[in-house]
Amino acid sequence: MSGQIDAFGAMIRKLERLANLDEIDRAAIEALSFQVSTVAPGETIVREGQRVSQCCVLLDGFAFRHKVAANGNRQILSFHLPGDILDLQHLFLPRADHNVQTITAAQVAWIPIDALRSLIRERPAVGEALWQDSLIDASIFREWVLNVGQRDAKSRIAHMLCEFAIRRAAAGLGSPEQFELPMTQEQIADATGLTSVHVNRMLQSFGAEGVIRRDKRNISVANWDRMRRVADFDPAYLHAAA
Amino acid sequence: MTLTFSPITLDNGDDDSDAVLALRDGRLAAVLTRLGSLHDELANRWFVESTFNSGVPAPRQTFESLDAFADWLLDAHSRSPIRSAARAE
Repeated sequence: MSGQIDAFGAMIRKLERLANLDEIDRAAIEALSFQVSTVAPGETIVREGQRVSQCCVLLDGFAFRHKVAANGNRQILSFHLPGDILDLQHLFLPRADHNVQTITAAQVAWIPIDALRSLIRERPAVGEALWQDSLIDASIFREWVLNVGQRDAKSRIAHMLCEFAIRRAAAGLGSPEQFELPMTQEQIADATGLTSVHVNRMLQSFGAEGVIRRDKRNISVANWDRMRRVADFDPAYLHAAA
Repeated sequence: MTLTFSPITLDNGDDDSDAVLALRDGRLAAVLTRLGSLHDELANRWFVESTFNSGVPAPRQTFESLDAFADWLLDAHSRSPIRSAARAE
């Protein structure tokens, strides 16, 4: 398919940070067959329980993974940026155990699982990079459990902002000190186990304390050290994704 | 069920300190705050900070009035599994 190199550019740059890929590895990724779909904001890409035969790579836009409790409350498990593989676990787990949904309008590439498995067998360095990506995902989930379970409201939100800023910068999307938040306050609340009322209070309080300046969703971090201290943020858990 | 509201000021250092204790048959059932101007379109609505019956978790929604909250609480208690279990005993 034409435009393939551009389509996987962000993913390849990410995988190159995780393992030493050579020209043949890169060419093998670029040669993967895929289909691109354009997805509206808030649309479900993968639904819990469905059997999956393709993995999806986020090419453009933002997305999140989530699960819903029997009482209807939603827990957001992670936020995702361009270049992220949104459901790498489907390489070996055929049934989706959570939902994947867009935050903004997005473009995703669907890669047949059989093609990805062949790639891993034939190009061990690519397999190593995907292994690392999956393990880093697990590390991020562990940090989120700590965040939701043991930190106070202000630290939870500060931590989420720090992580988003650092990952966004690592993905080549700009400075960690100035960015637009794609997610709503309700989505931040569902990611931090709070309500949108609490999220608004904390964001206002960061503004009043001079930690951030905020114009609607545009965030400018005025005091990064203070924000990192409030967040209890140590980027070590992001490993090579930071 | 008799629900009464007792005004109180929260020591939270922000705009949301105007609060009430919601007493259900004389027992503390919930603490609500009247949201301040920093909440834009939600300003002046009532937000449930906490409830004290594990079968009636604090709702995420806000309420236009304390009467609306009372209606919600009555309904939540009627659906509470904890209350149902007590009835079954």
